[in-house]
Amino acid sequence: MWGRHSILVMLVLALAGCSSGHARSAAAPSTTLPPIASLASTTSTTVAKPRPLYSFDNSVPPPELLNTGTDYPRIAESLLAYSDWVLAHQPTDSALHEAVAVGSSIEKGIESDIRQLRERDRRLYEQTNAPDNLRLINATAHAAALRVVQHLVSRTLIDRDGHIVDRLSAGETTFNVLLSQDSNDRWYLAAVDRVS
Amino acid sequence: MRRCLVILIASILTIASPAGAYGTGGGSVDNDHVSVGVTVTFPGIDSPIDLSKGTSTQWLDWAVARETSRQGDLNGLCLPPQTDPAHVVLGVLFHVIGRDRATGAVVYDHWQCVPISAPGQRPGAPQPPQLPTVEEAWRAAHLPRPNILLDPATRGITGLDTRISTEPEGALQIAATVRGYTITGTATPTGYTIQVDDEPATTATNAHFVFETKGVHTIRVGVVWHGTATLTGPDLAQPITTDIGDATVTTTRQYQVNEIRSVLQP
Repeated sequence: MWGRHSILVMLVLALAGCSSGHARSAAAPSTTLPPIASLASTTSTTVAKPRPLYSFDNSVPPPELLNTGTDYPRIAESLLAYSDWVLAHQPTDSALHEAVAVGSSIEKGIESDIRQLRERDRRLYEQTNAPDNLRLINATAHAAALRVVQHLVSRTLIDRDGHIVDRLSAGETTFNVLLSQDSNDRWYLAAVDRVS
Repeated sequence: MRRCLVILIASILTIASPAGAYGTGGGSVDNDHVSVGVTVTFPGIDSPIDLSKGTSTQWLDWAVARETSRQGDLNGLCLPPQTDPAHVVLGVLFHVIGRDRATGAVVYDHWQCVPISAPGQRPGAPQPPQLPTVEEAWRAAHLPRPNILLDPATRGITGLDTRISTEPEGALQIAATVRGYTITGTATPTGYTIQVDDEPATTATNAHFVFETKGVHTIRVGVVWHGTATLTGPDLAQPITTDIGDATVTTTRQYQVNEIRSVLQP
C-alpha cells in the first residue's frame, strides 16, 4: 500500500534511491525468502498453490478488482491488494492506474518508485500475520474514508535473483484510506495516510 | 509561664481577578502574577499547539485527483463557465476531497472544472480552499480564562488547608469571520484541572491542598474545551462541519505561602 509513504521514504533512503512502497501478500510469513520456484515445488497438486510473494515474469495474475458498489471495506481491501500486486509483480503505470486515482498525492508519491522498481529490476512485497481490519469512517457522494489496521510483519525489497536488498520489520500499523469515485462509478485509492 | 508569641511573616499578594474574557486567545496575558496560556490538541498533530506561537495548522487534509473519464466528455474534459460565448474553453475535471483531520471523515466532496488556459496543456490541479487555520478558529472562539479562587484568598499558611477552585463554564458559541470565511460553532467545556507546582494535576473544579513549605507556589487551573465548527466561504461549494480539537486554557498564578512558627519564651 503505497500511501504508507513514510515507510516508503525509509526504504528510499536506505536503498539510496531504490524505492519501495507497500506490497502485501497473503502468503504465510517466513524469515527466509524462498525463490518463487521453490515455493511452487513445495506445493502438492491437491492443495492450492500459495500465491508467490513476487514475480518478474508476469506469471502472476492480478487479484480480482472490486471497484464498484458501496461495500467500501471490500472495495478498499481489493484496491489495496491490487496495489500490492503492482509492487510485487507488475510495477507499471498502467497497472497502477487501475487502483490509484490519477493526479492524487498517492499516485505522485509512488509513480517514481514504481519506475525505479522496474528499472532496477526489483520487487517489493509485504508480509502480514493477519488480515487487515477495515472500518468505514464515512462516505459521501463520490468519496469514502476508511480506517485500516494492517498487521504488518515485514516489507521486503528483492532483486530478480532472489537476493534481499532490504527488509524492514514492522508491527501493527493504522492508516486512513481515502477512496475517490470517478463519474463511471469506479473507485480508486486517493490517499493512504499512516496515523499510527 | 510561657507566653506564646506568634510571629507572622505576612506578605499580601494582591492579585487582579482573572475573570475577564481571554482576548484574542493569542497567547499569554501577563498581569503581575497571573498568566494565561492556550494550547490546542488536534488529532494528527503530535504536540500541543501553542496559540501564542505563529503556527498555522491546517484544518483539513486535502486530496485532489484528476478525473480520467467522464460520460459525455473526452478523457475527463469538462466545460467550465464561459466568459466568451464565441470562444469555448474546455477544462479538466478534478475531484477535490477534504477530510477531517480528527476523524478522517470526508467533509468536502466536490468536482471542480479547471479551464485549459493553453491549447495542448493540461492544467495543474486546483489549489484546495485556503481555510482558516486551527489557530485562527480557536482564537475566534474567545475562550474565557478560568478564574482561580483561593481560600485563603491572598496567602496560604503551611500545614493548613488551602482550597482551590474555579467556576464551571458553560458552552460558548463561536461566531467569527476570518479571511472571508464564516466560522460558526460551539465550544463546550469538557474538563477542569487544578495543579500545584509540579504535583500531579487534579481533574476537578475544586481541590484542597496543604502546603508544606513556605514561599511562592505556582497554581494552575485549566479548562479543556472541545470545539466543533462549520465553515462557509466564497470558494467553498458546500459548508464544512468539523471537529476543531480541544483547547486548554490555563490560568497560572503565584501564591504566597507563609509559615507560622510558635516560639517559646520564658
